[in-house]
Amino acid sequence: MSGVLEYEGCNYLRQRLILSTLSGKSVRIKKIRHKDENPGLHEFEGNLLRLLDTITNGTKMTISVTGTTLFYQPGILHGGKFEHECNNDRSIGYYLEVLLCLAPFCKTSLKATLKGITTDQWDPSVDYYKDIALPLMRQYGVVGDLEIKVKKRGSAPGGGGEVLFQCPVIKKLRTAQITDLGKVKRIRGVAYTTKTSPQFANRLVTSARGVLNNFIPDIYIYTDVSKGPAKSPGFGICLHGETTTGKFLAAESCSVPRGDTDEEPSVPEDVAVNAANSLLEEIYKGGCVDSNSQYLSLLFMALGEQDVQKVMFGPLTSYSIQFLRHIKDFFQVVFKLESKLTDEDVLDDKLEYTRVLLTCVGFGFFNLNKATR
Amino acid sequence: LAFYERQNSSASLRRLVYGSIDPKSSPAETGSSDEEQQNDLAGGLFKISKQDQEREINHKQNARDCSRDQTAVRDWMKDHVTKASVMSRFVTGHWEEGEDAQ
Repeated sequence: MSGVLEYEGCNYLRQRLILSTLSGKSVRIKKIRHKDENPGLHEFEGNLLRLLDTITNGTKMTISVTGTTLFYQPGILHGGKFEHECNNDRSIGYYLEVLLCLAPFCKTSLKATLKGITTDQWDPSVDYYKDIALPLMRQYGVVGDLEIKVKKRGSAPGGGGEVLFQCPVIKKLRTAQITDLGKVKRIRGVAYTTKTSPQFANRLVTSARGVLNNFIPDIYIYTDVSKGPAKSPGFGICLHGETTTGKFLAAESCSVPRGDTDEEPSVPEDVAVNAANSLLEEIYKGGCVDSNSQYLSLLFMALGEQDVQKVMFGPLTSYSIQFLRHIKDFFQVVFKLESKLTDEDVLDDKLEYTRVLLTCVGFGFFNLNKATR
Repeated sequence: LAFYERQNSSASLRRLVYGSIDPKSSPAETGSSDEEQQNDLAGGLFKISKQDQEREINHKQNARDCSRDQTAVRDWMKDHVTKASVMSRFVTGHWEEGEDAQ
């Protein structure tokens, strides 16, 4: 067994646990909120560890008495069918992110029912992963029974949503070279409400169209008005653009949860215009992979075949930068980073973002867990 | 915004991500102690005290674990210029020579 990797602080916990599980290297995380009023691991992190325990076999976790130190020795990824009640401090997106990274490498295909908050202000929502992460995973060879299904919606803080995620098991990843963005040819999206007037959904759609119709006529935004007893009121909109080369870029925005007295209650028009502007911002950045799912692409590149893998990103997010460092720690895969100016950008002379071309040679990860039949 | 400026050149990008310990970076880039000292001076005027730095590191390490990109969003409908700049990314916008719709 190789040495234990050591880190400090609670930030990037998920990255560390994901990479630890995939690489088989143990990890020790110290000083978790050690100076905080409420020190140690919080409940939602404990919940995440329970989720990891569910999908693996033989994982050892030791948490110190104060909760400020975590030792994690990964077991074998098992997968399977299960139900998980997510903690309402974070939305399902927080947990789903971990499952997306691990599911293709399990022993048996994963079929998870996650319960909790489907959208909140912090994490990418379930709709976002459905629109962006799944097409991206398909490009890396995760094909087959790949699906995210929103069965029930639940807004913060009450939750009560239900999401089905299923993912096939793969033997190895496909080499992908994602460098051509193409041009945005259509915009799709979904506007949803829980426990509020169904009219809000229509107002969201109208306002989003008000902005986006200036750019492209091919827009369709579905409305999803959840019936039945939702626990908390809320609404939001998730938009994505599809390009001529089959790349997806997305943006979303949702209402401030009720009871949050620091902020004013949201108006559907503002939420929709914000989402539309964010989508334009994302499109302007010009990455072939959406900013919020850069990490997924990086992971699949690093684990991919021993071949040259390329991807064009917009500006790197700080989350991705940390992920790159972690990939180097766990897999010794170093990416070549080149900042790219296209002619078009120079002509425009309004350059504010620099695109980044990332190249690496994959680690050649082979799924040994997968049962051979 | 300064964050994005730092991403402008490939070399600084590599240093930003992997730090100066990257074996690939040329010795000139490995950051002499001079450079390190300059980094302590924010904007060349104020010196950040060690304690503040430590607090900042601690703050960063224990920040919220979140993958969502937090860049500011501008109003793309504000004027004609901003609107035109994003227009070229759409099929309905400007096509370069050599680009062709299939």
